[in-house]
Amino acid sequence: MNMTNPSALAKEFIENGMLKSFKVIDAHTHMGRMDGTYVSKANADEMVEMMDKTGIECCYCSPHSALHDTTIMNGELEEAMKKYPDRFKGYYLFNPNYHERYLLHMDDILNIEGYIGMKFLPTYHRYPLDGANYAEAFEFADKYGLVILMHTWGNNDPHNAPRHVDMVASKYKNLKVIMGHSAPGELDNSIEVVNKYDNVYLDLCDIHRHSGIVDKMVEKVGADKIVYGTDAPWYDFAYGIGSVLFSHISDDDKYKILRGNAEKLAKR
Amino acid sequence: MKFIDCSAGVGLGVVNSEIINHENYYVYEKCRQAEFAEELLAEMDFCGVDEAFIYHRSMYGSCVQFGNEMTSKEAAKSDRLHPTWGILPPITENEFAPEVLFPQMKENGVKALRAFPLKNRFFLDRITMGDLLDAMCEKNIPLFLSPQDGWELIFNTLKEFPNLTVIITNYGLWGSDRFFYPLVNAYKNVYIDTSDYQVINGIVDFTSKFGDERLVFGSNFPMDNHGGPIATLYGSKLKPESLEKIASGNITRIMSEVKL
Ligand SMILES: [Zn+2]
Repeated sequence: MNMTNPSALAKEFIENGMLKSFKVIDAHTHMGRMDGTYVSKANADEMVEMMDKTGIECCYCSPHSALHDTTIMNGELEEAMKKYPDRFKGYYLFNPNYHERYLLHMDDILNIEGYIGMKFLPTYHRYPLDGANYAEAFEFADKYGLVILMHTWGNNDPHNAPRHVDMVASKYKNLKVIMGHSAPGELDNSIEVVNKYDNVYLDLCDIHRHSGIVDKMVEKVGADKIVYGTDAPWYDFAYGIGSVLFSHISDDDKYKILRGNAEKLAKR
Repeated sequence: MKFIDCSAGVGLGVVNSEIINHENYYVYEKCRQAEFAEELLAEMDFCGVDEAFIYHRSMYGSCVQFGNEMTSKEAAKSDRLHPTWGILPPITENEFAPEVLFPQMKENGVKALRAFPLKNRFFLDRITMGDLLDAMCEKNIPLFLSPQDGWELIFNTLKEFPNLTVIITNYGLWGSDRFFYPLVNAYKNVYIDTSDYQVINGIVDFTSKFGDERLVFGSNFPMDNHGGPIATLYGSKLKPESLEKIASGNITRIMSEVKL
């Protein structure tokens, strides 16, 4: 049957298996194999293959090797940005448990082509966002107006709940915060924080899949404060695009979420 | 293309909503629910979904018998909605003995069943459910199962009832291929609902190994939305015949083989 969804973009996706009017930017991705899950496409080359297939221009990325290996640090990312300068932009992973090591190389963010900011993963590093070891990284990001993609989660998470983001944002006004996943379980609190600060954004990664979430986000914070993210190569680019295209918002708002906002955020 | 949603919920969840992230790790987030069939139908219209096999969420949140009644009440509002019922051990509740249940299913147009074993404190094994599950195998009646009580339970059920038709649903967004590839490989009547099949390149990789007849389109509404799984299917760029099988052909065939 024909859908009543009036979106020209949704029709375009159905006809082509991808969008044709514009290319999408994914503001929350990783790279490489990970524990827990089998994935058939994961390295930089395979990600580019999937990006081409689904109409993704660029992934803002922090590889699994960076998240979990403090020896290789951001090496895999830097290689990928060198090989595919238009396809990967980087978040410099900062592990607060080894903060001195990461502070030592922090200038790479300014000197290596492709970096747009930093990635913090407090739950997995078991270190709270407002802990002392993050302070210098925040100051650096604030000084240069960097984007920080920080993992956020609800369910009473002691490391990166919306209340931690609130504390950070009340202090730093020049950096930009993407609340990774928008703290599932505490979306209402995330919305409150995003509405309180001009420099804090919601991220669709994971949470987009639930019924009505995209509509609610646009209604509560406006389409200018939301970015499309997928956690690729955990997940398929198409699923998150579908959550946006089949939501009850305008195609202009869909463009902002799927591309426009991320493009603006990356400009320093 | 015709879409038949193999599994959608109507009614309000006791908690809105207990959402599986993976197996028994839950997230509790507020989703847009469909309290009544009309709201689900409106969302199906919006997304171009023709039909749906539904359950009422009180089947999980309240009690199976009440949920079954509510499911039939909502499904009766439209011939696009098909009821599915939950089951309990016939040894305690005789209404679930096959000779009582099957005529009831026939009368109410129910072709598929669901089980929430640990929630209702029973085992889906030969000791507890032997007669009913044997009869379901004989009549090709599909059983929807979620790994929310652990994947081991699904493995154990299939070890004892290898011919049972099982549609695995509501398994969370984390990739579960290491759990369900072996089941699909070992048991010819195991199918995967695509609603939670979000893993990168998942549909393409799955069909390259097991063909296009073992996936059935689903929304798992309201824990998932319709648009994600629809776009994932189109985004797979499989050949049109394969897309059609997954979107509606496979579930149509599975339900046509039910002998009641
Ligand atoms: Zn992530």
